Amino acid sequence: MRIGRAISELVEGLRIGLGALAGNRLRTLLTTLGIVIGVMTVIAIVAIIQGLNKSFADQISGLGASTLYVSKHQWLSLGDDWWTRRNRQSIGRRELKAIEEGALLARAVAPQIGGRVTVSGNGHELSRVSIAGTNAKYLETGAGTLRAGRFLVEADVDFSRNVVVLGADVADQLFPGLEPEETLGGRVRINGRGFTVQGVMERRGSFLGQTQDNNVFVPVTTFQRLLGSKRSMQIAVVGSPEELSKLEDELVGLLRRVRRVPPEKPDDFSINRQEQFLKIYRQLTGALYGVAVGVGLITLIVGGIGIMNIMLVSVHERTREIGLRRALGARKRTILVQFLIESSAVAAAGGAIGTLLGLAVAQLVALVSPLAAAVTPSAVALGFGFSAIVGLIFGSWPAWRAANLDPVEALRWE
Amino acid sequence: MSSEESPKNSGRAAAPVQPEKTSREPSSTRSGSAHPERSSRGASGGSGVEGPLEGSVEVGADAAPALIALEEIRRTYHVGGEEVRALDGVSVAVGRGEWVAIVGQSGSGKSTLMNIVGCLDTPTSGRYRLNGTDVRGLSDDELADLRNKEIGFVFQTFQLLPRSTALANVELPLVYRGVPRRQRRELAEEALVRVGLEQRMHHRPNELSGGQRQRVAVARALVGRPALLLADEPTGNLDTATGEEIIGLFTELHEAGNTIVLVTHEPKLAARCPRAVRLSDGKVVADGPGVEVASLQLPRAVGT
Ligand SMILES: Nc1ncnc2c1ncn2[C@@H]1O[C@H](COP(=O)(O)OP(=O)(O)OP(=O)(O)O)[C@@H](O)[C@H]1O
Ligand SMILES: [Mg+2]
Repeated sequence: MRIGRAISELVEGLRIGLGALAGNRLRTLLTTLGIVIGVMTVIAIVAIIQGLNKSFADQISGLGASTLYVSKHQWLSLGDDWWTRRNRQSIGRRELKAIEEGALLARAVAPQIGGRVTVSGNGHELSRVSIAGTNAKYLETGAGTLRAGRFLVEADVDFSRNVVVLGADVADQLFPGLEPEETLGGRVRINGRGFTVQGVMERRGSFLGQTQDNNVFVPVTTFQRLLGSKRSMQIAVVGSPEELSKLEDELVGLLRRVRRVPPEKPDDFSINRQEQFLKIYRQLTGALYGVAVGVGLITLIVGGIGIMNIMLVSVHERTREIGLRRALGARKRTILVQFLIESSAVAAAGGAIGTLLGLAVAQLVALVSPLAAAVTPSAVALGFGFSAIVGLIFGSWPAWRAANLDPVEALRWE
Repeated sequence: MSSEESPKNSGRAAAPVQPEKTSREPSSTRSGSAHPERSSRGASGGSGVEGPLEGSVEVGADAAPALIALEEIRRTYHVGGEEVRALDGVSVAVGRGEWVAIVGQSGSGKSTLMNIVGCLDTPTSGRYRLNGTDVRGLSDDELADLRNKEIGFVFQTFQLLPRSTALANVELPLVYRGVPRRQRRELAEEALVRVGLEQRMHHRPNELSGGQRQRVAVARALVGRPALLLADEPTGNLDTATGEEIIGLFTELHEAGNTIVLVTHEPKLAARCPRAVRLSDGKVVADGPGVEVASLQLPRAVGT
């Protein structure tokens, strides 16, 4: 009987609360506007962050997790002062050779030098194509996979051959309509010099609106012959995941020796890892999350106050009804629950609308900007549940007031 | 009394009413024992208007099974530093199956008394026992349960939920009692049939006439089979003819064994009740057969 009573009271509370909402649709809608906007903002931001996460994860997989990158500067570092950076000696073949010969823990070593070139062939011309000078080990650093043909081989580097492996976009644009296999052996010109196509890379897609496939790969020796050898190179060194730190120590020793860094001086080179990107990225998205949480909290509080306001009005309007219910045997608790259900239902309805709008906004942003959008069910549940809790919290004072109305006064109220 | 009410009454509602309480028996014991007692006291009340206060205390003391036993009830309000004695030492006892009218000038404390009897309000001092239970010691929840089980309210302004159907309105007390849905519906239908509204069960209050609304309210008061029906000016918002209908309904309920306490302004109505209590300035000034108490002119009561 007690459980039966609790259930029937709850059902009644639900019926009353929802009935009251349905009876005042416009008012309810306006009331929930604060919650709607709050939840919408948070859902949109979260959707965008999650979209970013996804494409970033795809992107970062291009940097091998157990690969160290030796370069002149530290990646993403804004702290190094300009003067020391400028005066560092370039990293070049000397370092490459030292690592290739001396790093016992290295599984693969691949140099990378980059630049922009004009590529033409088959009657088409593409400007500002990324070019990378590298060697046969490049694919082992986790930077991509081959679609057709072969990648560079040692002999290409040794003899500084004019051979090229095309990125997917370049292959498509120079040889539209041709399968990658059909472009093999084709002739292209890079900055006016003739090259033979040896392979075509698998498509990698785009990141933050930038295509990752508008590039060509040539032997590092050819690159230097073509574009000069002053440019500093980056050397990717693949180690085993467990011994990455040891490998780093080994590299530091080798490099200091070959670059003749006096013992008291700090390193004049930097060893980077994929993790650094992750770290920076996490800081960035952490800040975004912070904004989302801040905006969400503020708007939810504003929305909650709106709900409190409307619930006070609702209690006021229904004073007589409350008195009547009390006269007919409703306990204080019953009245309390009735109004709590009402306020959390209003808020949850606002949350639901806000969630839908937020998803729509995120999709829109993804359409018109390079940002991606992805939504996990947990975000939706969070938006919904969060607003219901806001309804509960901000509805509790009005509900408490309703429950503690004096039945006699309430019945006499007009 | 029967001469006045029977023509209206027997004509309109003979069919729907079935005595449903443990009915005939208590009503017969009432007319057997309680009634003579009361009429004798009523006679004394009629002769000397100061008397009834002590008289009713005696009744409260010796009639052990009284449903309502009020002893020296006081209820004071403080308004702007001033003390208002809405009830000033009221002692009344009402037995099972009685039909008592409460009369008195506006502001004499009738509603205040009804609220206390109905457990909506608690006295400032004095003792109130409902069905033998002292109300003073009860928690708020227990009072709510008591109202739910023992008391059926009928209000002057009907107090129906505007968005709910007649049926849903009548079901309400049963909701708070935790009666399962199906059974709730059956009982509510039964109660609506009983007040002659079998054709209007699914109407909302704004689709009903005033008299019909009050019938819904009476059905709602009846549905939980409470020990006591309390009506504060149930005909106050109705025209004479419709008011008569409602009074006819109360008469039937009384005959079926229900205990009824009814507040009214109208002497004619009070005269039809077997017993009436007159309040003045928060005190009982007369208690006796309805005809006698109703016929007391107000100036006389106030004068003494
Ligand atoms: N909440 C209150 N606060 C202050 N005084 C009150 C309150 N309720 C009632 N009173 C006072 O108590 C007295 C009795 O009021 P009550 O409502 O019981 O009168 P009544 O007999 O029902 O009158 P009416 O016939 O007009 O309904 C009045 O003087 C009234 O002013
Ligand atoms: Mg009154």
